[in-house]
Amino acid sequence: MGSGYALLAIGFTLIFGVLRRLNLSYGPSIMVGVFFGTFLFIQFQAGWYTVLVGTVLGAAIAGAYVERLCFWAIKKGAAVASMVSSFAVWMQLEEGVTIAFPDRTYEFPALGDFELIELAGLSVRQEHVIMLGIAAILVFALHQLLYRTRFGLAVRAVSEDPNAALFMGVNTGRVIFLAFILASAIGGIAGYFIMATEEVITPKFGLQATFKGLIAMMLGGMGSVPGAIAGGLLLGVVEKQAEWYAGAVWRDIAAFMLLFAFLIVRPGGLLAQHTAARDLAALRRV
Amino acid sequence: MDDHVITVLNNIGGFSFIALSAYLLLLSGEISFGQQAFFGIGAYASGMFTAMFGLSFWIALPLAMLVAGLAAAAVGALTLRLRGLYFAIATLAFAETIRLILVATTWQVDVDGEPVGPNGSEGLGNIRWGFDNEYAPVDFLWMIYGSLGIVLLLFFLMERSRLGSIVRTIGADRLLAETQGINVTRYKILVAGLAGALAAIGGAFYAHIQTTVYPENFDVMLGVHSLAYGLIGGLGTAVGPILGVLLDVGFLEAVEWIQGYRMIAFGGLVAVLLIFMPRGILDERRVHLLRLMLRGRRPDIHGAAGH
Amino acid sequence: MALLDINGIGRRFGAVEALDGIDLRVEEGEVFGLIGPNGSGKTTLFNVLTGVYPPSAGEILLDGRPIGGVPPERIARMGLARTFQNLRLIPHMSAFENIWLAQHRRPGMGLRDILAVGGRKERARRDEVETLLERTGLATRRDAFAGDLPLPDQRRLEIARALVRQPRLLLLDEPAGGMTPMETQEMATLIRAVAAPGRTLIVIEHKMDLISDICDRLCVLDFGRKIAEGPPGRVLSDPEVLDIYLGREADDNSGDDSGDD
Repeated sequence: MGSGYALLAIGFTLIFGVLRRLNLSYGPSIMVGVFFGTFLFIQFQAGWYTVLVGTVLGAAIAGAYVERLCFWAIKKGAAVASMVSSFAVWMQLEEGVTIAFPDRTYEFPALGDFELIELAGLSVRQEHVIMLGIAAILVFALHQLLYRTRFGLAVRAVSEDPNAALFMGVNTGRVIFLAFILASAIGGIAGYFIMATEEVITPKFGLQATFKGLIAMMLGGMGSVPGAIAGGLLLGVVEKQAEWYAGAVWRDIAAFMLLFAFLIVRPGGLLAQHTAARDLAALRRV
Repeated sequence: MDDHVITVLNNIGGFSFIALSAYLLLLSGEISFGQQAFFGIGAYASGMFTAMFGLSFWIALPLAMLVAGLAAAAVGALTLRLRGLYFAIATLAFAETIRLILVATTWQVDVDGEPVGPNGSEGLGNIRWGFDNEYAPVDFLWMIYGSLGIVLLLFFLMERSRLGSIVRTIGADRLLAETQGINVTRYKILVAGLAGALAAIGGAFYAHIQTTVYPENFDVMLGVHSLAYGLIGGLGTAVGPILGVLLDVGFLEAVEWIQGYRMIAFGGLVAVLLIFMPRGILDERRVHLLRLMLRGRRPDIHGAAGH
Repeated sequence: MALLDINGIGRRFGAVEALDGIDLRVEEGEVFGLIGPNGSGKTTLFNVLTGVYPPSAGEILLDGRPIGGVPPERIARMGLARTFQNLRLIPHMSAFENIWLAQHRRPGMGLRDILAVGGRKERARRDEVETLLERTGLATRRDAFAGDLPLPDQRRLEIARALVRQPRLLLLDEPAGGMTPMETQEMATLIRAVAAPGRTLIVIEHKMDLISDICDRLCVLDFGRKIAEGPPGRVLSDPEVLDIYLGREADDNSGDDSGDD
């Protein structure tokens, strides 16, 4: 579970990093992708890889739509307008999916039938191990992309200083658009894995995905990929513990209380001291 | 008036309070995703005061405002260091915590042989004060719009007074406010508390009209909507957020024939509107021009002309 | 006793010593100039004086009372006001509103003032703002948005906004920055008028003719240290000042609009 959250948080962080704006429609875009995946499954009995590709594709297309309408079209400096606009689009996506899939809940194909396996004395569900492994591979690939390619350099330049990047000949609009689609695709993968373990989907998943990704990102520290991973894992562990000891309602209470406490005590998050310090410095600048 | 119209008008009035609450915070430069918590606290507290302890609504309302205002001031004090997105998320986390605690809490007392009180996700029912005192929906209509009128009057006075200028300065430029001798901390807490009390008014009316309230009524959708109202209607005047509510609730009701596609239509409309008017319909510039026109002054918006 | 007494002020940012043991005394009624190359610590000194940063060493006395490390809002209420080099007007408000916003002096929450709306006191306050617009030459710009004003008017508006607080000590950070010679002359006239009733001013400027025109005394900073101090005629002919300040200015033409810190 934690690795799914970590992937969600990475997607969030990518968008926030390049845009410095919050995309509330991130979860709902993923939800659109997941529903597209389930459509392929129900209609054509598609295999798991087709469902995965469909999910990622659906999420990326929905993400592109959100980016064009809420971020590209609204001028710089109107961050709140972008956020509210992404919320409006969220309602659109949710209702669109509800109309297309009127039954509210649908079956989602599981990864397969797996047995519990013993790992270092703990019994672990095998698909969780697979999830963790794939998440690790993805993070590695993303790291390579961000630090070894021209595109990655451009993304990092834009998130450090969009104006400077513009002067250095980076096409910021394009970079933002591509990063947005990349983030949505990562979200699609995360959505696929979370759904494959839950096996039931509803349009409310959009809300959940936005929340979990947001919490994990804030716990780790905004704009930091390692922070997002740490935040996602921490959130997964805390939720499981709270659920085990106090029941399902307390799972979510624990998540939000943890976030609230973290923001007050350590607003920079687990791993992003330098980002927080930079934000503070920017505020203090006269 | 038929009952349907009255219900719609009551909803518009009730949501106007929480929209104004989010707007007040926007003026002071903060984006809150959590005003629904104080709407909910207002609803639950006032409902408990009348249904469980038999108080009159007119006593329960100020008490509920006090409870919500104090809670909001406390949250404001805790989140003082946070700005921008951090503040927004902290308020969201607080609001969701409150909502989920209400889901997890059951506390009932015996009133006339019936258990009354918050009952987890079953909500708080039996808020019969309006029914017992033979208040019809139309009576609530007068109560809501009377209170809204008073609140708006206070808003206009505030905007013209020193308090309003202080809040706007803090919202526009915190450091500037400090170098002008404003104790920013104190005003932030004051504004947070006032905004909380304001949301509670809406919640109290909502609870007594619905007679049953559920924790799910106060989810994040309500909070983001209330924020959106100010941004749709405009940030230049307190009429803006109310215009936003009117557009949303009014629009949704008016176009019932596209039932089922309302959110798609409305969502698209809002998204397009924000592209062309990122600070809402009645933004500062348009409000300024309107004021000048009302006073019969020639609007000199292009200051670039020589002097 | 001097109105402002600065003793051995230091301020470090990490390893950088932005201010290094500055001593200054500014007498009541004086117009005091502060010059130096970019990055020499002039704006940092303003920020320390107004409480934006606490000093890391030394002592500042305003009218005999220590203000080092005191929060900015308390210093402001002790009668100190400033303008900003990179202009901090509220762009989506009119010139009138920008001044009006700054007009609050007494402590207290302002809840009582809600009742005063439309009353005699409020009219008096409005008249005061109108008078200031008149005096700073902005009367015709009264209803224009601050963000729409041309630069010289924005700088005038900053001064008007500081004046409405009736400061005893007014700090002007590059009041003629980015202006033409003609506009600079008008600004000099305004500054002289502001100083006329015996008000104390500290002015940061790069334009030497303006500085020598309006200042009684001035001081030169370089790398956070004081190089010279005295009347303009003497300081500006000091060979060390000419060498350090003007010599370096020649290769660095970024001049007025780049940030000081």
